[in-house]
Amino acid sequence: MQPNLLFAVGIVLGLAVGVLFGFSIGNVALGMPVGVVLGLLIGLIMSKAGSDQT
Amino acid sequence: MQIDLPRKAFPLPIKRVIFVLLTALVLSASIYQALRAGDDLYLTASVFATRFLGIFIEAVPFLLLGSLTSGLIETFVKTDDILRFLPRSRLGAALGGTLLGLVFPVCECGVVPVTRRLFRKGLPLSMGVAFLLAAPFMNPIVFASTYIAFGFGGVLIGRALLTVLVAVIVATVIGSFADPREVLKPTSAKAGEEHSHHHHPQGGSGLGAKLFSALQIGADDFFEMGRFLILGSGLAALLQTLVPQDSLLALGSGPIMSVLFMQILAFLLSVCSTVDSFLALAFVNTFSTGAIISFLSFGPMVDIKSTLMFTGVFRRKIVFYLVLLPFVLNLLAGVLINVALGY
Repeated sequence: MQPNLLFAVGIVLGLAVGVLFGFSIGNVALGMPVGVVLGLLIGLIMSKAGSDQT
Repeated sequence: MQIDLPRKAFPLPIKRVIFVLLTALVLSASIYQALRAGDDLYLTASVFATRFLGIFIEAVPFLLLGSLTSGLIETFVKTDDILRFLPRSRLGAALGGTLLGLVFPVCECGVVPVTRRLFRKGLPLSMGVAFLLAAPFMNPIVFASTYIAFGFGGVLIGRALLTVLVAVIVATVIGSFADPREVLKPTSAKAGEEHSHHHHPQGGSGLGAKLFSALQIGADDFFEMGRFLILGSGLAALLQTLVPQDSLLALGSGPIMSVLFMQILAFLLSVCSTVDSFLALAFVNTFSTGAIISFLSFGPMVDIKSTLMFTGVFRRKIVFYLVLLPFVLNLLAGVLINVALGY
């Protein structure tokens, strides 16, 4: 996959995990920023992995 | 009439197909498990997300520290410096490798990039493997946490002795029977002296330039190892969500099964070696001493996320042995301790 697409996938995955985490602790407002940070991190790592393979 | 098709006309990426099939299988199993148990799928997903976050966020800072250490080693430690202090025998190198953890205090996430960097600097295989397996315990932080949890006694001494023993045996075996070129991935094998890091131009010889170069190398290592950490954390969280721990707990009695259960638990939970003592403390009244010591010795050596990270350094066949040998040796030791204590 293209690095940019992987970055987007990473963002979505991280955000999803963060929101689910927010639901489980009963505080979605906290889960969303956690998800954004996590998504950025996962997106960067995945896009780096993608660019290394291409 | 036979038509010779070019081989690349129908590329069959077997590994990718297997990977996709396995992923689909695991996902289907997880959905089936959730539905069969009558659980709310949303609840299962929330539990998965929380567990994934728990493992990932706990491990990321240590991976970052390990990657930075790796960058500093690449920039400031010369290959000759390492080669000068190396023990000559394999056993000596393995014993030395177990003590390296005191110089590079890292847990099981940070140890992987550091080991890879040391291999590139010419560290012998046996020493590197011993360091990889022992360093997550052989550092002051983990000593202290074990001491605080269990005090100075059988568990602390047993953990230290068993860790050193297993690391030395596995390192000596792998160092004796394997060729480093067949064990390490090309990116981990010793680099040529003249271009040990050609894609990171030093840009100058001043301290600032060197530190900047170390940061660049550390960032590259972090992102390279990070992908394995994401996969490993996801897999560990998935298995923790799928495998019912209560039923395993019921099976985990007796001198052998208790050790087996605690080792499987250590593998699944993927808890950082800096805090696993406190987790083990919760099992003291439920499980035998041998099982506790095996948990504390095996967990830092091998777990799901570190196994995934090993695949970034070693070839897969060796990763298999790096998991199997510590597992069997710790199991054997745990059972022997149980028998000796009359469990």
